[in-house]
Amino acid sequence: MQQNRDRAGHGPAQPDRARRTALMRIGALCGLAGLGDLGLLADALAAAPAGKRAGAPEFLSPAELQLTGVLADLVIPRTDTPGALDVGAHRMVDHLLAVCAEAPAQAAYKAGLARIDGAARAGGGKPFIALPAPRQVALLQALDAGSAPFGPADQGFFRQLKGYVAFAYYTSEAGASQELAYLPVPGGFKGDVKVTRSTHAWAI
Amino acid sequence: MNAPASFYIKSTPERFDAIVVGSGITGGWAAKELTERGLKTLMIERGRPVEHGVDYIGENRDPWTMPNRGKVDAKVAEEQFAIQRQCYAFDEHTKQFFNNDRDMPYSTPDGRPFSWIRGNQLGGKSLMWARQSYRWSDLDFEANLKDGHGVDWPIRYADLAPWYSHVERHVGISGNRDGMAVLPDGEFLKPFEFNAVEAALKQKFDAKYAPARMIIGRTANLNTAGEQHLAQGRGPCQARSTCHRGCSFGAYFSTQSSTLPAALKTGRLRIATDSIVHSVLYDPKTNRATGVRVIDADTMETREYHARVVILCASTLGSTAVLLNSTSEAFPNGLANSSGALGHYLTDHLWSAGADGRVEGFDDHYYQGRRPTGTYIPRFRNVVDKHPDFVRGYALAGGAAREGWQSAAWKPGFGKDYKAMIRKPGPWRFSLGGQGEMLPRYENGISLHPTKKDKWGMPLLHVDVTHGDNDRKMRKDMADSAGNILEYLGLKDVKTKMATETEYPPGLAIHEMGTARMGRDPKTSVLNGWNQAHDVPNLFVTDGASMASGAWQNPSLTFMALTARACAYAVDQMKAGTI
Repeated sequence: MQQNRDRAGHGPAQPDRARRTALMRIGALCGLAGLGDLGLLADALAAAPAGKRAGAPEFLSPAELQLTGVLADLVIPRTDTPGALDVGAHRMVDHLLAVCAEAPAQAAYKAGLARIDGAARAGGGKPFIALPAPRQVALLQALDAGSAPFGPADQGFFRQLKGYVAFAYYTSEAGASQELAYLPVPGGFKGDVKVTRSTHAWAI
Repeated sequence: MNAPASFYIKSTPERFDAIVVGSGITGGWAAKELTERGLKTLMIERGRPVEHGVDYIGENRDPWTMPNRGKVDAKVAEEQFAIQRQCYAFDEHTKQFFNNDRDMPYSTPDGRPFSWIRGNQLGGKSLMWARQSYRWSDLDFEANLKDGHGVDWPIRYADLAPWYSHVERHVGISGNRDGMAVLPDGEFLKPFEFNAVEAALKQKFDAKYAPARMIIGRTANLNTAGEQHLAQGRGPCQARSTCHRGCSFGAYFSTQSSTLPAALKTGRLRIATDSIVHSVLYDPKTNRATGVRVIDADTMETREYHARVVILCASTLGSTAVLLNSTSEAFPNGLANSSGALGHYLTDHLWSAGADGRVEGFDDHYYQGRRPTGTYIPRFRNVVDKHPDFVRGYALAGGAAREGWQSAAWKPGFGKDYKAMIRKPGPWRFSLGGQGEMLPRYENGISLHPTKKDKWGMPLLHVDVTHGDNDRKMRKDMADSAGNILEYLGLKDVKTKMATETEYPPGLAIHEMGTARMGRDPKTSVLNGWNQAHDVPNLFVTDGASMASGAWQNPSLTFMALTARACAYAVDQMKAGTI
């Protein structure tokens, strides 16, 4: 699976090390340094400032926010540009769920997170965020395809999550202007420009 | 500028030459024409003042600077904008320009929704209109006479053609001279370009479906700014396509960018904002309107303004509501309503039926900038041949674009490759959506609610509109023919779409027209061929209320031309002493 490459590239041979590295980075992005304990990191991640939004989550529980952060990082990781977690996408998702979502969408989101964690625990007792990276990726691949242990409803949730993460990321400054091409005042309309290898899609 | 330091007034003993009720697309035009022709004019607006540029608070905001990234707080939307939120242009950048549905409710019968989209500020809906600007032709003005639905229009294209030219030159319409009989050419600025896919599809479409053609949408955006537009303080379009947030470049036509500066330049305009017109004052001895009574939106106090002539430009439903509420012994059922036609024959455009699909290839073509218009296939049904199921016809508006991150949720995958895929322009898509003519029927209309009142004590407007048999058949054909066209053009995954009337209620095309229709016969119509009330000669209605039928084109340009023509006529009559 193509999506597997990046995370597996951290080294399936050393999954714990890779997981620790990834979580350390998440901690660092949230303004925390030198955390060695994953449980402590988990708590800190939920409480830490990310992007410009700090403090307690508005709608999600701290654990749900944390899981959203890990999922956001898996959906849109850091590459040559910042990733979803770098721009605080999980905080924005929490905010949008709190303020702009209707009750059914809110409930669907929480239920979807619970099913992901349920599937993770069913496979070995650990919550999703504590799984080795390859296992996380494998679960998301099943989720994306709606295949066992997931079904079509879960696939629908993953679309909802990807929609939220993409929205939060591509409307962020880095997502819009570094990852994509952001031209707020084009100065006029050109009907036909050539696509080159360096062409990025328009952010707006 | 010889405008006074403040042109805003509240109370005044002054008797004006003219009162214009409303400040939107037609109110602005009335103010411009009347003041430029020498009349001391008072413009009355129920909403607050909006100053060009300064009050465009949603403009020039990067998405990441908006608290909700452009989305509207769900609770606010539900409690205050339950209707307005259905409008495509309603978002976090623009919501201040929309009517507050909690404060200004209206009523509809159970199971027959009507979505009334309203502006509530100086400039009205001219600030967030869709700017598509098309002339009508005699196919439209003769339709009522030929098929018997509605009364015969008292005017023909030749009556309006010079006034179309008059308003087009001032407004600035970017469009191509296409030479089509169903859609007469106007005084155009340079048209916007097709993109590569549209250019290819147009070629294929035109060859197959002649005399139908795919053209570029004609829009009130300055693709180039002429001298007359620069003189209004306007500059060329920057292709941001954020028009409905307000444009401080003045690149699209609005009251604020165009007609208001012209009217203020004369020094003869005064404006009363936050003034809800309760009724038109009427003197039975002279059979003349003498002014208006207003309720102050903030203080609830009542005051009167007086003038020699009254022009209603308060929006299609707004103007008629004022007349219905202007009762007297002489006109117990509403002013100028001896015909009984007032409040009836409401139409909107038939909408939300069409098709879309994916276009293969063109991978190395893209576009730069966000074009504030699309493609347009003018009416082709019942032009040459006769459709077996329905009379009249529709346009198909559309456009091609490449998918962007907005469709990311539906793309498979996640991670680095997923991100890399979204970085590249996605597949091309092309869509067509119908905009069809709804027949004017007596039973579709508005009335004043017998008991319910708003917080100013004004009776609620009761709106009762349904689609008829002809309307339903036409909507189906809009979707079917859009799908057939896309299939012929070689698109993949073609899907036709037709929303139900509950999903997409009448009104939501925001092209409501009629309820104070023009006509030749005072017994069956409210206004004559000059938008002048048959019953009360110094009373005019020049907005969408005056329309005897709705045609299929976006109507605002026609409202403007009718307004300018009516105002010139009113001034001539005043000078001649007949009113």
